Amino acid sequence: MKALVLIALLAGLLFGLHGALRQHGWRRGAALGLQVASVLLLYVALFPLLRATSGAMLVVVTPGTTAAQLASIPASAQLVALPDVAINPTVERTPDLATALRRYPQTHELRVIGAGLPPRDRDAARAMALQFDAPELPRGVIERVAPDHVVAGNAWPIHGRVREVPGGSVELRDPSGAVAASAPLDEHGAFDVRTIAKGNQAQLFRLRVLDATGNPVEDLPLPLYVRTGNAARVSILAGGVDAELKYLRRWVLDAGMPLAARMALGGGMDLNDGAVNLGAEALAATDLLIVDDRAWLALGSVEKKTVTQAVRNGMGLLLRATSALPRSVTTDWRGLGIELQEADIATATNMTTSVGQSGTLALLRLPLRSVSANILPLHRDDGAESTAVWRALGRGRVGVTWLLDSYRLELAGERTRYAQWWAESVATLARARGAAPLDTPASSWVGERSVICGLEAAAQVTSPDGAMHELLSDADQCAAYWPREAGWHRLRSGDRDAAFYVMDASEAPTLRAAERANATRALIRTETTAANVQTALPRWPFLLAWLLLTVMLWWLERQSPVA
Amino acid sequence: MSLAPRLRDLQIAARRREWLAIMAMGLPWSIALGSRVWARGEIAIATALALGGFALCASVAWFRSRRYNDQWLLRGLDSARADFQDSSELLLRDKESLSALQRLQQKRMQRLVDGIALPDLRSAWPWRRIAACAIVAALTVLLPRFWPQTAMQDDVTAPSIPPAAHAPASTTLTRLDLDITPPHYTGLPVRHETTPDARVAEGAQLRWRLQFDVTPTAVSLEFHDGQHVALVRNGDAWTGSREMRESALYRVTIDGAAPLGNDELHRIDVIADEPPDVRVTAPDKTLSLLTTGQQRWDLAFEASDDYGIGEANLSVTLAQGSGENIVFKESQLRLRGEGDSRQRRYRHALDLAALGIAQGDDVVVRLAVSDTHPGKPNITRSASFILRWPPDASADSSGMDGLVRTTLPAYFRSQRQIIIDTQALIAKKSALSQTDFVEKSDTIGVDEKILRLRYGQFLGEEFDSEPGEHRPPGSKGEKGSAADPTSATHDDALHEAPQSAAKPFGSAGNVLTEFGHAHDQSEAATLLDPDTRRVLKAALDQMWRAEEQLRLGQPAAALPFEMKALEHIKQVQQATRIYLARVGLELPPVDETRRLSGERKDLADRSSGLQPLDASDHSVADAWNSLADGVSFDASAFDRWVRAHAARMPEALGLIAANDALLRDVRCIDCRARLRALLWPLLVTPPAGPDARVAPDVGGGAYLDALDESVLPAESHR
Repeated sequence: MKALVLIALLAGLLFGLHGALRQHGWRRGAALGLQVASVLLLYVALFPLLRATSGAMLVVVTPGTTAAQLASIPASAQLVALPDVAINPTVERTPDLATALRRYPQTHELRVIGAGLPPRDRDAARAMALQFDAPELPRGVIERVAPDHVVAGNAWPIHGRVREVPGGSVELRDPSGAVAASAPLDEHGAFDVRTIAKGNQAQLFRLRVLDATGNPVEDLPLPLYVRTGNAARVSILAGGVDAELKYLRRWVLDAGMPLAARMALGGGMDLNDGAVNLGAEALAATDLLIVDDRAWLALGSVEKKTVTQAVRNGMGLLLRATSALPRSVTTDWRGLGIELQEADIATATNMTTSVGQSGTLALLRLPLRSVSANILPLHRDDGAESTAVWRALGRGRVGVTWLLDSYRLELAGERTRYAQWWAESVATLARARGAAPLDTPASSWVGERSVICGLEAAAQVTSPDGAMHELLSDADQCAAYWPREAGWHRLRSGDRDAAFYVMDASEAPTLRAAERANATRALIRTETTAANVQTALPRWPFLLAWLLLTVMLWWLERQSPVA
Repeated sequence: MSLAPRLRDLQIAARRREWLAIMAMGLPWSIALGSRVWARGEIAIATALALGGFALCASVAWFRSRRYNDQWLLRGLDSARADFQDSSELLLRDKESLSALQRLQQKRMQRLVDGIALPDLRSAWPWRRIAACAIVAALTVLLPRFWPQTAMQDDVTAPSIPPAAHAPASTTLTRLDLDITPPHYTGLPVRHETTPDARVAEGAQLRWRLQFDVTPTAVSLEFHDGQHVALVRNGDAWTGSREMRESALYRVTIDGAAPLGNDELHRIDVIADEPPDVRVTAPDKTLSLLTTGQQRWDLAFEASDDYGIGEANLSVTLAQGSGENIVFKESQLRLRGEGDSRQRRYRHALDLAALGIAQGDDVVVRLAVSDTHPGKPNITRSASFILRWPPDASADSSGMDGLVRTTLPAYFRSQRQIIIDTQALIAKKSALSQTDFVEKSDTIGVDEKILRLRYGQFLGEEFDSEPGEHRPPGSKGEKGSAADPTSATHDDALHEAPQSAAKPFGSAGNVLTEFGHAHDQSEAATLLDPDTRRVLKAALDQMWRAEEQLRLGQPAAALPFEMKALEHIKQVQQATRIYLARVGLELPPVDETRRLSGERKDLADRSSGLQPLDASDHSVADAWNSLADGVSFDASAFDRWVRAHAARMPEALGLIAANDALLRDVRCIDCRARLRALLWPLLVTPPAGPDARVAPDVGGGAYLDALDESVLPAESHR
């Protein structure tokens, strides 16, 4: 483009010079000079000269700015106000920060006053140096961490922090409005409540903050999406029958998982649930194999090799130590990367039972301790001593547990806790088959930019009114969405789906302010990569000069007698 | 001069054509407008609009057709026919004003007009425009009907408008009086309510009195259990009554008038009459033992009831006898309490002597308190309280069935005490006369005997003499009755019974022991395991020998046997438990022909037969889910389900009422939320399932493979 313009200008210059050469006397000289000068001016007007400047600071007035803050800004500073700023209508308004930066290209430093930058403007501010004095947050919930989806039957933990409610408490209210859990606030205002997820799909709980006298301070929605569990294909091999197997098999069936079990009864006879096949193909269709030490001892070396290879190919293997381990078993397991040593610890171990309550139950374990490197705890007792560990082996995982009687949780009436213990074990160890979840926004408000990530295919959002909105994802597989309606939004991308809840613009104002302040604080930078900004000279003086010269040329040529 | 009639006809035809064409274009519009408004229910406005549109079309058409005047006609004739020679205007002129030439031409024209077929000057039908108007108008009418989603959206999502909003088409309940007369026995006052919902006592008589703004021909109350109460007209009010035994939902239905604006279900909650609450303040424990010299047993009870306490009956049972020979005497006492009718205290002192209690007897008391509910009073019985006169120690063994006793009871002077006594006697030998010494030695011998017999009981031996009975040393009978040191069975004792016949006549209390031969209870014989039994037998043997020496007045000779007996008894006591086997493991008999033969026929793997959880009834979960969008919810099916399972659900009435609101108005969002809230507590928490782990992508898989190759070999070298 620039080259074409340049060629055209040169052609024009040649034409003009040719015309000028037909002049005589002083006119010829003047015309030549004017021609060259006018072409130069036109070029400079079209492609303005750049000038290195030290840049300037732009003060961005965001919603929540107080008059006092505004008064503290020196009068010389350049101010722009984002939408929704309530005060001082004289400040220049801008629809967003990116527009303001285009208007003031020399800006290289931002000073944000007020509550902070809304999500819309954060990307624009990333390359700039940024100053931000986070304001005092109002009273209420300033932090809220809760998984947005839970598998039914599992605990749903919610923790967070409340500001300036000394001696207060929080209540978790279930969708029927009843109190599902409550917890007092500690001295830092932190709380931790949990409940067991039931039902399925989208549910809306509410979190209510009460002050010391029991009066409600804040009430904010707490969305939960309940999924059904993964039907992991579990196979059990046992060298004998015991109570643990009875309850384990019961749980596997009740949780809707396909079960195959083979328990030796002695004399070469087995008690079976379905058929356990240790062929390579059958193991490739198994997600988790649970083997106890006695059954391991009875396995042939070929079978052990097949099992190990299956683990390397992605299967999960949970080894149960039920008695003092024979040397050959210890050696085999060391080959799988798990080394256990006898330890001088009590065989009784305490385990917290109830969700949300402080009950403990004494269970039995073998006095063992894992000594291998590269190992991770799977379960710990209340004394932080591992009762089960795991490690990755190839694509799969191997775990070992030496807790002997987890079934006593069930006998003690802690059925949920028992199921959770095993659900956690299976979830950690079983073959990875799940699709990557769609990264939905943790909290979003009506009219505010929310970012959805992990979109591999074309994605659509269905808003509560039933309207479908196509998302445009960028190279990072992320897309922005501006919700216009509060409520549950369903997201679909390829064969994956998810749901996220959009709060009304008036809900959870403290949380929103805290999130803005935190996100803006994360953008604070003292230096910018482009310390010397190249700014363009203005065009209009050059255009004016070019016009003048051109008029003079025209006058000159008109005055001249025609040859 | 006026136009010739033929020409006039020509003009009228053209005007009519224009009028009709415009009406054909305009009428569909006015009809469409009218029908749209009609669809919103405003019939009068719709008619007015349609008529107005018609009138507007007609007037426009009239104005338009006015353009077809004489000038137009003449121009049309001139342009249509060349032989008119542009002279048709002459047809309108008066002859007098014309020149001769003009007159001539006029005459020619008139001839021409009369003689020829006049051209058709009507404009063509504007078929395209008429069709376009008709189609667009038809679309305007029809399109909204076939546009269910977006066009009707406002109606679907808007919270349901209370039916009262359609005011003119419904009847309003202007006044509702509910007189509640609780049953007389409750003592509650008669209440008056003006709301249709109420909480009433069980059996209360409810009287409704309703007034409407329009007078219907019949009014009735329909209850959810299918009952009807027809109301009777009384002036401008309708009255009716019903006795409420169970909680119910009802609805007011009217005939002969527009339906009720607010016809939701109303709820009458019945508070059931609770049975009385009985607390026992004395005695403070269920089993008390008779203290010596106790003549009376003081009893104190407290009872409370929601409406009033009726009778209080104390049942006193005296259980006499032991073993299988127990006789019960039961009597009822009516107690008078103090306090008001809702809370009473009862005190009673039971005269034990009058009751005839003897040693070993139990007195069992229980208070039954009824309330004043007529017909079928609620009765609450307290727990049973027992006063026991501790029986003779000998009868104690019958209570031990099925129990595990940790140690042998120490009833009498212990073996250790006997040794101490013997040693003391030996030490005082010089200070005593020979007869005193022998007598004291004999007394110790008696103690030793009692102890021996007592221990002998545990071996199933017989107890053949009263404690303290003194017999001459060396008495044959006595010796024979004791445990034979060699056999330790009671065969020798067969001859014992006649010897103790020196009792007064008539004391037939223990005929069996006197004349019969009570082989001791088999369970007593299985009291001890064989080892303990052997040691105990040896102890008895030693005790017998010690007794012999003591009775002979030779305590020094008895002492070694006593010591030996103590040693054995200590061993018995150290045997940790004595098992009283009553029920056992009943294994199938062993097939002796196959036993240890190595025969493996018929032995095979077994299937455990574990059955998956039966989770076939998903009604609650399905209802909960389908209520989320509200489209797929089948309210009538759910209503049937709730009624079928009402007995299992505490809030069934609430569910029925909330579901009924949905049955009546599917779009009601508030009703849906209310029903969902009621369903939430009914949702079952399933057993926790595992979450699915995210499968690694290409990079993650490669990382894991590389990790497997690099890390594990290094570890295995360790």
